[in-house]
Amino acid sequence: MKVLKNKYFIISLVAISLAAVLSYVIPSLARYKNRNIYEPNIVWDGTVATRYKNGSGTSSDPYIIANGKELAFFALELQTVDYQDTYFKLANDIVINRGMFRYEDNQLKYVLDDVTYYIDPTNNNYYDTATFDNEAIGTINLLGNLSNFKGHLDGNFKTIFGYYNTTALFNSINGEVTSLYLENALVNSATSNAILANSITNSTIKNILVGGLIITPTYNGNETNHLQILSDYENMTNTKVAGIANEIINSTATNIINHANLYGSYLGSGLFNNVNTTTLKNSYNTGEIATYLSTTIGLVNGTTTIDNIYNTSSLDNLFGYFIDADITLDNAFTTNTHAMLRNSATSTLAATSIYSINLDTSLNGTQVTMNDLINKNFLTGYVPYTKIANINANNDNVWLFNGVDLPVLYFDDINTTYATLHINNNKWDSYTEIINSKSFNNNISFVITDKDNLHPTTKYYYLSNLEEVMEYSDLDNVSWTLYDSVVSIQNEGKYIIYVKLVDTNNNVNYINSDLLIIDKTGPSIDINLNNNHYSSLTSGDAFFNNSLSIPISATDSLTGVNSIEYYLSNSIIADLSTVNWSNYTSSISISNLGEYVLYVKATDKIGNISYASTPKIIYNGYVIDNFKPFGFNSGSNITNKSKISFDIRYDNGMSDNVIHYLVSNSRLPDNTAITLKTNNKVYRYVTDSNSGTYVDNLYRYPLSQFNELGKSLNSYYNETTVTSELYSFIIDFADTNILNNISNLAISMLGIKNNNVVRPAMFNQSFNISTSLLDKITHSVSTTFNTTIAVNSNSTYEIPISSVVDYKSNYDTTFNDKTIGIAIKIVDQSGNNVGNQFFKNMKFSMDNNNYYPDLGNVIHINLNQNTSINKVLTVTTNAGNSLESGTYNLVIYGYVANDGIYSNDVTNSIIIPLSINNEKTYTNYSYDVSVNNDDLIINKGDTANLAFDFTVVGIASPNIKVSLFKKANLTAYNQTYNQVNMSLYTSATLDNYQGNKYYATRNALTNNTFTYSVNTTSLDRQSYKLVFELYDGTTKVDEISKYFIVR
Amino acid sequence: MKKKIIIISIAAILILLIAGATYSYFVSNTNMTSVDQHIAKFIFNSDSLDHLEIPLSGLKPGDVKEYSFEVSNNTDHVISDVNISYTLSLLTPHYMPLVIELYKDETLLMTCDESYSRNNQNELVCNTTTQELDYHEEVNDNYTLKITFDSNYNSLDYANLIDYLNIEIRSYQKV
Repeated sequence: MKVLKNKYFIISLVAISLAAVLSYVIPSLARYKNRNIYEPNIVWDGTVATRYKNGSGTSSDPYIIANGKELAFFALELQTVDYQDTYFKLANDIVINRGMFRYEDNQLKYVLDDVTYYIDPTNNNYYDTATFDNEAIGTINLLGNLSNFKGHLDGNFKTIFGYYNTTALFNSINGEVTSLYLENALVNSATSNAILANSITNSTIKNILVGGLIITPTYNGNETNHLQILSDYENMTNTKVAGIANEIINSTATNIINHANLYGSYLGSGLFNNVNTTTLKNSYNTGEIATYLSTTIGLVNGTTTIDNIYNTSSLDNLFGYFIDADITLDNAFTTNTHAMLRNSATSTLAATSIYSINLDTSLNGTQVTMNDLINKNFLTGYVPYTKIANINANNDNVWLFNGVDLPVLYFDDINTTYATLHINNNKWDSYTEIINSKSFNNNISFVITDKDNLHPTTKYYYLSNLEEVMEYSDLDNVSWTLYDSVVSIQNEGKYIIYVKLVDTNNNVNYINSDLLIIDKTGPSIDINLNNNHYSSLTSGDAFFNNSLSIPISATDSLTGVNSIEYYLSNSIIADLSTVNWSNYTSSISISNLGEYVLYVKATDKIGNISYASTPKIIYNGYVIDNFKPFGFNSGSNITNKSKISFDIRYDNGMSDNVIHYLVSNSRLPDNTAITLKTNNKVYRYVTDSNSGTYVDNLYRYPLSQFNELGKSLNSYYNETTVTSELYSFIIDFADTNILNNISNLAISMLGIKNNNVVRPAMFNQSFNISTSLLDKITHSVSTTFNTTIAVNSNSTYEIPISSVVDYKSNYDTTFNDKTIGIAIKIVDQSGNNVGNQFFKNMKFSMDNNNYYPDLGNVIHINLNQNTSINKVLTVTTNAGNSLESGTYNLVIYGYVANDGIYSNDVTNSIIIPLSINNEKTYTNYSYDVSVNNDDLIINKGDTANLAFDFTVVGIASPNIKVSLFKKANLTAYNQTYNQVNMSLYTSATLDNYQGNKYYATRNALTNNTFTYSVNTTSLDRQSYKLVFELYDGTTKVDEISKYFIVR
Repeated sequence: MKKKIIIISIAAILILLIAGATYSYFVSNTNMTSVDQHIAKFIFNSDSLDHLEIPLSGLKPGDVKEYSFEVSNNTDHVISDVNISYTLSLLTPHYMPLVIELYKDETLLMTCDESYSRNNQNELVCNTTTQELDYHEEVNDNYTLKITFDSNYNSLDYANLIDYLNIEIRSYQKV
């Protein structure tokens, strides 16, 4: 140490030194703005991780280093990778060694838990004796140095505490390092070294605070020509040490603080031994530089800007040498008495606002007092730091003045107060704006203690519920409470404890804690069950008739929700500790019938747990099945005279005292006929204007009003006799008078017990009732027959009939269980049906069946189906009909009937005029067909040439048509013959007339023979007949049948 | 070897058409009276099956036709020297609603109707019981086949039908 000349200066120096010692001795992990250890940090165990905590190394997703192992991994990786353009970030403070390093009496010491040990640098063990006689107490953790780093490290204002090595943390930096505390570091080197980095080149460093020790061998030389030596700095062989770095070249350094003490070496600089072509802004040194030549900056060269720099330690000079430098220097001061600049050579200097306690001629600084420096006169033109947000507005708002101490950068420790606020292991001893939060799941108690007996204070406290730190200036206006003993905080909430200290000189200092969160309860849970909210374990039942989607949420206004878990059980769980919980990610779905209880467990970030549950969810009810006519196709239409049927069941067991209702979401029209079959009984109920009680948006029809069929009128559905929950309904709208469409009509059942719905209606089927005529089934008949039927003409008329049933696209059940038919009647000119006797000698056949009029004088042909058909009605008229002359029509129409015969539901009519001819037109004619009878019994397999000769007399245009018929039955008593296609049994080409009818001769006058060469191979052993029909033109005159037998 | 003679004499058979093809045809509803038809005798080999076709012709509703025939064990007074057993089979598809009765010695032996089963040719097969001819004396079994067309079947559906009937005789030496 140099000789002190100025008394005031001495006092100040002592004060400063004392403060420095205090800060040096008191174990504290000084983080950004006086963060104390809340809880014991995990000390690095010496192992090396295999990967970083997470991240990908990009600027938006940097590698995260969260502990010593990962820092060690970082160091290992840097041996082979320089991580150029790779980003890193510290997530936590990292404790390499938690004891404090000291250097006293030329001895490295390690103070651990208030016990002082001695470090043997040869093996890095520490012992309880200075001679290392006894067994080592432990070993200092040695973190590998971070070789040549070219990436980007964001220290995140975290601290690497207790770094121990023989070299700087970084061998070299050629990238970016920011916001890093390096505290209680110990570099014990035999050669030149530094604490942060040996060299910094082409880099940016910012917000760097270094504290600790760097020990190198004492320089025992007596060099005095420092200028010459430093002029060749690159080749300088004398040892040099620096707090930040030996060299910083072509870089930018902002907000740089050195608190470390340097020992030994030829040249020692609190900040940098060499600043070359660099911009250095906002920096200061408070560490003791106990080297041969001591400075804050040893050598400056190149074009360099230094702005806002000061030194408070006792060293030779603020600046050593300016050599070949073009320097802009603004705002610099030192508190020692030596010249600020040792020497300058071949350099230019533009210096402003240079201050010194001592009169300085080296930089023509202004002599000032300490008060001047304390009271902001040091920084001219700058707005001091008040909030972190201000830094974003002005990068220079980084200096903090407290009116007591020299200004410090905002992230440095302000002068500690003389008291400490304690909560458990947490300590705070200053005011700070930037705070973290600390959570407690129990009451907390705090005490305020004086740090020593030298500086007693009167203490006050104030509990604030604000989450942000009050402004320093606002603390004067707080209502303080005198502190005299431990104070307990029991209520949940967020607190910042403010402490006001008034020393014996009425100096006031403030301390504030971090944000303290007392959270003794678990999160609030909300289970939203169909808009019913449950926040605790709930009993009871809840009935549902539809699938559910249950969202769950949880809030914790204090520490926040850490996790939400759930478990969907089919029963009540007594012991939730046995549950296998699942993480909740989205609403819980219940889509299957059954019983459920949804349990939720929410945990906050401090471990408080809350539970909640729904009541027992009973998702069950009356289920519709077998819905007809359209199955499960909701939204289908039926016509307003149709009916529906369905089964309803409840599958969750029987229960006494349940009252059953048929329910609908719209009132059933009057005269809706309801047929119920259940429990082996059949009931019926017809709605009227009084039917349906409207409750909870449903119309209820109690089954107790349903009359039991087959019993007296007073026999009704009896709830006490119910043994089955299976019901079959037929809802028939046939007798209703529905004039307007009904949409989305849904019908189900409901079961109520003790006024609670215990059997919900599962409306899974709805339908519409349409009144539109366009939706109804249409049934119509048509024909292409367009001539007159001549009665008494011995003619046969083939009348094609199309009976078309159009079911449309909707459901009209009016045709269900019914069949359509064709009805035939003969009406006179007044539209009256003629009597049965007038059907004599007329044969009506269809599909080879003959049909005769019934008692109503109408022929009904039941078609036995209810879909469209195409048939041919064969009308054969023979002589002998006694209809008198007049106007008659053959009326053919379709009908729909249950029995296939009788119905008033008829279609349009086909009207075919009948011509009545009571005179035999053809009386003077003769017609004969002859054949060789010997040919008429044919052995099967033979081909017989059946030659027929025709004799026709008295017919003007005789043509003969022939058809083949096969006897239908092997009996003499049924002479039904069915027409077959005669062309199939001959190889000859036949002259086709129509269908299976062929011309035997188109002109019997000119061709009166016909040969049918029949191959009997394909014929059965049966009787056949060839029917030869004589026509006069188109009028049938007569017919003759000729039989033959295949045997 | 003993002489085995079976002589089946058939009384006059009225055949209106060539054997195998017969039909009946009516144009009015007039009734027919019974007509005895004597079947001419013929001799056939007793060891072989023989048949005889009976014409069903000219029958109209109400008609009754009788066909008489004999089955004898002698010819020209030469008697078979063995006892002979035989059965008669009437085969007809029965397409016409005829009542077919077989009398033996004026006793109704069998009515051939649709209660009998049909063979593969769809013919009713009406078999008599076994009849016997003693070789010790001349025996002549007199049969009458009576065909009746019921007058109730007078609709046009039953007009112009054809049908046939075969008589088969199976004989064997009685041991």
